[in-house]
Amino acid sequence: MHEASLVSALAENLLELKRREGARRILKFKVEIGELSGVDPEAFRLAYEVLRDNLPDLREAEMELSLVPARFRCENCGASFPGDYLAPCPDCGDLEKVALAGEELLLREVEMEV
Amino acid sequence: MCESCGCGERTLRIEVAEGLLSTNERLARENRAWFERLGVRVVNLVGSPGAGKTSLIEATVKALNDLRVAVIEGDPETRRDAERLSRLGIPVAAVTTGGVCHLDARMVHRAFHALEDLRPEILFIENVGNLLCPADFSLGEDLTVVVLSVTEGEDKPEKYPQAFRRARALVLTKVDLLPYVDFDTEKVAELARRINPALKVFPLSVKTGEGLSPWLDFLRSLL
Repeated sequence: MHEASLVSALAENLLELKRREGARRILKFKVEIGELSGVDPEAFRLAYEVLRDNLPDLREAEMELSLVPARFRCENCGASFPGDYLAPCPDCGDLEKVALAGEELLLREVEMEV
Repeated sequence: MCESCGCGERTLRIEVAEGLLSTNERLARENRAWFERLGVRVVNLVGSPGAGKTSLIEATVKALNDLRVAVIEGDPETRRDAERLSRLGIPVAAVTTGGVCHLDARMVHRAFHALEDLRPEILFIENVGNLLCPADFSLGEDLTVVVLSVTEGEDKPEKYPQAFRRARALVLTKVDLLPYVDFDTEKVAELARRINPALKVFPLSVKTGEGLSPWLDFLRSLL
Protein backbone atom coordinates (compact mmCIF):
# COMPACT_ATOMS: atom_id res chain seq x y z
CA MET A 1 0.00 0.00 0.00
CA HIS A 2 2.86 2.25 0.88
CA GLU A 3 4.36 1.85 -2.57
CA ALA A 4 0.98 2.70 -4.14
CA SER A 5 1.01 6.12 -2.43
CA LEU A 6 4.55 6.71 -3.59
CA VAL A 7 3.87 5.88 -7.23
CA SER A 8 0.82 8.12 -7.26
CA ALA A 9 3.03 10.95 -5.97
CA LEU A 10 5.47 10.04 -8.73
CA ALA A 11 2.71 10.16 -11.36
CA GLU A 12 1.60 13.59 -10.14
CA ASN A 13 5.17 14.87 -10.50
CA LEU A 14 5.51 13.39 -13.99
CA LEU A 15 2.21 14.75 -15.26
CA GLU A 16 3.03 18.18 -13.85
CA LEU A 17 6.36 18.15 -15.73
CA LYS A 18 4.66 17.06 -18.93
CA ARG A 19 2.20 19.94 -18.61
CA ARG A 20 4.91 22.44 -17.76
CA GLU A 21 7.05 21.48 -20.76
CA GLY A 22 4.09 21.10 -23.09
CA ALA A 23 5.37 17.63 -23.98
CA ARG A 24 3.49 15.17 -26.16
CA ARG A 25 4.47 12.16 -24.16
CA ILE A 26 6.80 10.90 -21.50
CA LEU A 27 9.25 8.37 -22.89
CA LYS A 28 11.41 7.43 -19.96
CA PHE A 29 12.29 8.48 -16.44
CA LYS A 30 14.77 7.52 -13.75
CA VAL A 31 13.89 6.91 -10.12
CA GLU A 32 16.37 6.39 -7.30
CA ILE A 33 15.38 4.49 -4.18
CA GLY A 34 17.70 4.47 -1.20
CA GLU A 35 18.20 1.13 0.51
CA LEU A 36 17.41 2.74 3.87
CA SER A 37 14.09 4.16 2.65
CA GLY A 38 12.10 1.06 3.55
CA VAL A 39 10.66 0.96 0.03
CA ASP A 40 10.75 -2.36 -1.73
CA PRO A 41 11.86 -1.84 -5.36
CA GLU A 42 9.87 -4.84 -6.62
CA ALA A 43 6.67 -3.67 -4.93
CA PHE A 44 7.35 -0.18 -6.26
CA ARG A 45 7.72 -1.48 -9.82
CA LEU A 46 4.57 -3.54 -9.53
CA ALA A 47 2.62 -0.58 -8.15
CA TYR A 48 3.90 1.57 -11.02
CA GLU A 49 2.81 -0.99 -13.61
CA VAL A 50 -0.69 -1.12 -12.14
CA LEU A 51 -0.93 2.66 -12.11
CA ARG A 52 0.47 3.02 -15.62
CA ASP A 53 -2.23 0.75 -17.04
CA ASN A 54 -4.78 3.21 -15.72
CA LEU A 55 -3.12 6.42 -16.85
CA PRO A 56 -3.05 6.96 -20.62
CA ASP A 57 -0.39 9.66 -20.24
CA LEU A 58 2.07 7.19 -18.80
CA ARG A 59 1.27 4.18 -20.90
CA GLU A 60 4.50 4.44 -22.91
CA ALA A 61 6.70 5.71 -20.11
CA GLU A 62 9.51 3.40 -19.17
CA MET A 63 10.80 3.51 -15.61
CA GLU A 64 14.47 2.97 -14.85
CA LEU A 65 14.81 2.11 -11.19
CA SER A 66 18.08 2.18 -9.28
CA LEU A 67 18.83 1.28 -5.70
CA VAL A 68 21.15 3.67 -3.86
CA PRO A 69 23.44 2.00 -1.31
CA ALA A 70 23.58 3.39 2.23
CA ARG A 71 26.52 5.48 3.33
CA PHE A 72 26.99 7.12 6.74
CA ARG A 73 29.35 9.64 8.30
CA CYS A 74 30.35 9.14 11.91
CA GLU A 75 29.49 12.21 14.04
CA ASN A 76 32.37 11.43 16.37
CA CYS A 77 35.40 10.74 14.13
CA GLY A 78 34.10 11.71 10.69
CA ALA A 79 34.73 8.31 9.08
CA SER A 80 32.50 7.39 6.17
CA PHE A 81 31.12 3.85 6.06
CA PRO A 82 28.39 1.62 4.58
CA GLY A 83 25.88 -0.44 6.59
CA ASP A 84 22.43 0.10 8.09
CA TYR A 85 20.90 2.23 10.86
CA LEU A 86 22.10 -0.22 13.51
CA ALA A 87 25.72 -0.20 12.40
CA PRO A 88 28.29 1.45 14.68
CA CYS A 89 31.26 3.32 13.18
CA PRO A 90 33.85 0.70 12.15
CA ASP A 91 36.70 3.05 13.22
CA CYS A 92 35.63 4.35 16.64
CA GLY A 93 32.49 2.33 17.48
CA ASP A 94 30.30 5.42 17.97
CA LEU A 95 26.59 5.17 17.12
CA GLU A 96 25.91 8.82 16.30
CA LYS A 97 25.89 9.04 12.53
CA VAL A 98 24.29 10.93 9.68
CA ALA A 99 23.10 9.23 6.52
CA LEU A 100 24.92 10.64 3.51
CA ALA A 101 23.11 8.39 1.04
CA GLY A 102 20.49 5.68 1.09
CA GLU A 103 17.43 7.62 2.26
CA GLU A 104 16.44 9.00 -1.12
CA LEU A 105 13.15 8.56 -2.95
CA LEU A 106 14.00 10.62 -5.96
CA LEU A 107 12.79 11.38 -9.43
CA ARG A 108 16.19 11.95 -11.06
CA GLU A 109 15.53 12.56 -14.74
CA VAL A 110 12.70 12.60 -17.26
CA GLU A 111 12.83 12.17 -21.00
CA MET A 112 9.89 13.55 -22.98
CA GLU A 113 8.90 14.03 -26.57
CA VAL A 114 8.13 17.67 -27.22
CA MET B 1 15.16 11.05 -31.48
CA CYS B 2 13.41 12.49 -34.44
CA GLU B 3 15.37 15.64 -35.18
CA SER B 4 16.92 14.36 -38.41
CA CYS B 5 13.71 13.57 -40.26
CA GLY B 6 12.29 17.07 -40.13
CA CYS B 7 8.96 16.23 -38.51
CA GLY B 8 9.72 18.66 -35.71
CA GLU B 9 9.53 16.23 -32.85
CA ARG B 10 12.39 16.13 -30.46
CA THR B 11 13.34 14.54 -27.23
CA LEU B 12 13.77 16.66 -24.17
CA ARG B 13 15.69 15.30 -21.23
CA ILE B 14 15.42 17.17 -17.95
CA GLU B 15 17.26 16.67 -14.72
CA VAL B 16 14.64 16.82 -11.95
CA ALA B 17 16.37 15.47 -8.82
CA GLU B 18 13.29 16.07 -6.72
CA GLY B 19 11.94 13.91 -3.92
CA LEU B 20 8.87 11.86 -4.79
CA LEU B 21 7.29 13.22 -1.65
CA SER B 22 8.30 16.84 -2.24
CA THR B 23 4.65 17.95 -2.42
CA ASN B 24 3.94 16.37 0.95
CA GLU B 25 7.08 17.92 2.38
CA ARG B 26 6.06 21.36 1.18
CA LEU B 27 2.61 20.97 2.74
CA ALA B 28 4.21 19.71 5.95
CA ARG B 29 6.36 22.87 6.10
CA GLU B 30 3.22 24.97 5.66
CA ASN B 31 1.53 23.03 8.48
CA ARG B 32 4.56 23.58 10.71
CA ALA B 33 4.49 27.32 10.10
CA TRP B 34 0.74 27.36 10.86
CA PHE B 35 1.21 25.40 14.10
CA GLU B 36 4.06 27.68 15.16
CA ARG B 37 1.97 30.78 14.51
CA LEU B 38 -0.76 29.42 16.78
CA GLY B 39 1.72 28.20 19.38
CA VAL B 40 0.51 24.61 19.31
CA ARG B 41 2.90 21.72 19.96
CA VAL B 42 2.18 18.77 17.72
CA VAL B 43 2.91 15.16 18.63
CA ASN B 44 2.59 12.48 15.94
CA LEU B 45 1.99 9.03 17.45
CA VAL B 46 2.90 6.06 15.27
CA GLY B 47 2.69 2.35 16.07
CA SER B 48 1.15 -0.95 15.04
CA PRO B 49 -2.58 -1.62 15.34
CA GLY B 50 -3.24 -2.51 18.97
CA ALA B 51 -0.02 -0.96 20.31
CA GLY B 52 -2.14 1.19 22.61
CA LYS B 53 -2.02 4.58 20.89
CA THR B 54 -5.63 5.52 21.65
CA SER B 55 -5.35 4.32 25.26
CA LEU B 56 -2.14 6.30 25.67
CA ILE B 57 -3.87 9.44 24.38
CA GLU B 58 -6.83 8.82 26.71
CA ALA B 59 -4.61 8.48 29.78
CA THR B 60 -2.44 11.43 28.75
CA VAL B 61 -5.37 13.74 28.09
CA LYS B 62 -6.95 12.90 31.45
CA ALA B 63 -3.70 13.69 33.23
CA LEU B 64 -3.09 16.95 31.34
CA ASN B 65 -6.52 18.35 32.18
CA ASP B 66 -5.10 21.81 32.89
CA LEU B 67 -4.03 22.15 29.24
CA ARG B 68 -6.04 22.70 26.09
CA VAL B 69 -5.56 19.47 24.19
CA ALA B 70 -6.95 18.40 20.81
CA VAL B 71 -6.63 15.22 18.80
CA ILE B 72 -6.56 14.34 15.13
CA GLU B 73 -7.51 10.72 14.82
CA GLY B 74 -6.48 8.77 11.71
CA ASP B 75 -8.29 5.56 10.94
CA PRO B 76 -8.49 3.65 7.66
CA GLU B 77 -12.20 2.86 7.84
CA THR B 78 -14.07 3.73 11.04
CA ARG B 79 -14.54 6.63 13.44
CA ARG B 80 -14.59 4.37 16.46
CA ASP B 81 -11.36 5.67 18.06
CA ALA B 82 -12.45 9.26 17.47
CA GLU B 83 -15.79 8.60 19.18
CA ARG B 84 -13.97 6.95 22.07
CA LEU B 85 -11.81 10.05 22.57
CA SER B 86 -14.73 12.47 22.12
CA ARG B 87 -16.31 10.93 25.19
CA LEU B 88 -13.47 12.48 27.23
CA GLY B 89 -14.85 15.87 26.29
CA ILE B 90 -11.88 16.92 24.18
CA PRO B 91 -12.08 18.19 20.60
CA VAL B 92 -11.35 15.41 18.12
CA ALA B 93 -11.15 15.65 14.34
CA ALA B 94 -11.50 12.28 12.64
CA VAL B 95 -9.69 11.50 9.41
CA THR B 96 -10.94 8.40 7.64
CA THR B 97 -8.23 7.64 5.12
CA GLY B 98 -10.28 5.24 3.02
CA GLY B 99 -7.86 2.37 3.37
CA VAL B 100 -4.70 4.44 2.99
CA CYS B 101 -2.02 3.21 5.41
CA HIS B 102 -0.78 6.56 6.73
CA LEU B 103 -1.78 10.18 7.28
CA ASP B 104 -0.25 12.81 5.05
CA ALA B 105 0.23 16.55 5.47
CA ARG B 106 -2.83 17.42 3.39
CA MET B 107 -5.17 15.27 5.52
CA VAL B 108 -3.79 16.85 8.70
CA HIS B 109 -4.17 20.34 7.24
CA ARG B 110 -7.85 19.76 6.43
CA ALA B 111 -8.55 18.16 9.80
CA PHE B 112 -6.88 20.96 11.75
CA HIS B 113 -9.26 23.56 10.29
CA ALA B 114 -11.93 22.13 12.60
CA LEU B 115 -9.68 22.54 15.66
CA GLU B 116 -7.85 25.78 14.94
CA ASP B 117 -10.34 28.10 16.68
CA LEU B 118 -10.06 26.13 19.91
CA ARG B 119 -6.43 27.23 20.19
CA PRO B 120 -5.07 23.93 21.53
CA GLU B 121 -1.73 23.99 23.34
CA ILE B 122 -0.98 20.38 22.45
CA LEU B 123 -2.28 18.53 19.42
CA PHE B 124 -1.93 14.77 19.35
CA ILE B 125 -2.12 13.14 15.96
CA GLU B 126 -2.89 9.45 16.13
CA ASN B 127 -1.52 8.06 12.91
CA VAL B 128 -2.96 5.01 11.15
CA GLY B 129 -1.92 1.79 12.90
CA ASN B 130 1.22 0.92 10.98
CA LEU B 131 4.89 1.05 11.84
CA LEU B 132 6.21 1.33 8.31
CA CYS B 133 4.45 3.83 6.06
CA PRO B 134 3.85 6.80 8.38
CA ALA B 135 7.63 7.19 8.71
CA ASP B 136 7.84 8.58 5.17
CA PHE B 137 5.12 11.18 5.51
CA SER B 138 5.96 14.29 7.43
CA LEU B 139 2.89 16.06 8.84
CA GLY B 140 4.53 19.23 10.15
CA GLU B 141 4.71 17.78 13.66
CA ASP B 142 7.16 18.94 16.34
CA LEU B 143 8.00 15.38 17.18
CA THR B 144 7.16 11.80 16.35
CA VAL B 145 6.63 9.26 19.11
CA VAL B 146 6.76 5.52 18.44
CA VAL B 147 4.29 3.55 20.55
CA LEU B 148 5.31 -0.09 20.96
CA SER B 149 3.60 -2.59 23.26
CA VAL B 150 5.55 -5.25 25.11
CA THR B 151 3.36 -7.92 23.50
CA GLU B 152 4.70 -7.11 20.03
CA GLY B 153 8.15 -8.63 20.42
CA GLU B 154 11.68 -7.34 20.82
CA ASP B 155 12.61 -7.31 17.15
CA LYS B 156 10.53 -4.29 16.10
CA PRO B 157 13.31 -1.69 16.11
CA GLU B 158 15.38 -3.88 13.79
CA LYS B 159 12.44 -4.58 11.51
CA TYR B 160 11.18 -1.00 11.27
CA PRO B 161 14.28 1.16 11.76
CA GLN B 162 12.89 4.14 9.78
CA ALA B 163 10.19 4.84 12.36
CA PHE B 164 12.69 4.67 15.25
CA ARG B 165 15.23 6.78 13.38
CA ARG B 166 12.76 9.62 12.87
CA ALA B 167 11.22 9.53 16.35
CA ARG B 168 12.18 11.66 19.34
CA ALA B 169 10.62 9.32 21.91
CA LEU B 170 9.63 5.69 22.29
CA VAL B 171 6.76 4.74 24.59
CA LEU B 172 6.76 1.07 25.62
CA THR B 173 3.17 0.32 26.59
CA LYS B 174 1.47 -2.44 28.60
CA VAL B 175 4.44 -3.02 30.92
CA ASP B 176 1.95 -4.55 33.40
CA LEU B 177 2.06 -7.57 31.06
CA LEU B 178 5.85 -8.01 31.29
CA PRO B 179 5.61 -11.05 33.63
CA TYR B 180 3.75 -12.93 30.90
CA VAL B 181 5.78 -12.09 27.79
CA ASP B 182 9.37 -12.41 26.58
CA PHE B 183 10.19 -8.76 26.34
CA ASP B 184 13.24 -7.13 27.89
CA THR B 185 12.58 -3.37 28.00
CA GLU B 186 16.29 -2.60 28.53
CA LYS B 187 17.28 -4.68 25.53
CA VAL B 188 14.69 -3.02 23.29
CA ALA B 189 15.66 0.44 24.53
CA GLU B 190 19.31 -0.34 23.75
CA LEU B 191 18.43 -1.66 20.29
CA ALA B 192 16.33 1.42 19.54
CA ARG B 193 19.16 3.70 20.74
CA ARG B 194 21.58 2.01 18.38
CA ILE B 195 19.35 3.30 15.59
CA ASN B 196 18.72 6.64 17.26
CA PRO B 197 21.08 7.49 20.15
CA ALA B 198 19.04 10.56 21.20
CA LEU B 199 15.79 8.59 21.58
CA LYS B 200 14.00 9.03 24.92
CA VAL B 201 12.36 5.83 26.19
CA PHE B 202 9.25 5.72 28.42
CA PRO B 203 8.12 2.28 29.63
CA LEU B 204 4.62 2.63 31.09
CA SER B 205 1.22 1.10 31.69
CA VAL B 206 -1.95 3.15 31.38
CA LYS B 207 -3.75 0.39 33.24
CA THR B 208 -1.70 0.64 36.45
CA GLY B 209 -0.39 4.17 35.94
CA GLU B 210 3.20 2.94 36.32
CA GLY B 211 5.71 5.08 34.44
CA LEU B 212 3.16 7.68 33.37
CA SER B 213 4.75 10.62 35.24
CA PRO B 214 8.05 10.79 33.28
CA TRP B 215 6.06 10.71 30.05
CA LEU B 216 3.82 13.56 31.19
CA ASP B 217 6.82 15.56 32.39
CA PHE B 218 8.40 15.08 28.98
CA LEU B 219 5.28 16.41 27.24
CA ARG B 220 5.10 19.41 29.58
CA SER B 221 8.75 20.16 28.88
CA LEU B 222 7.81 20.72 25.22
CA LEU B 223 5.53 23.65 26.03
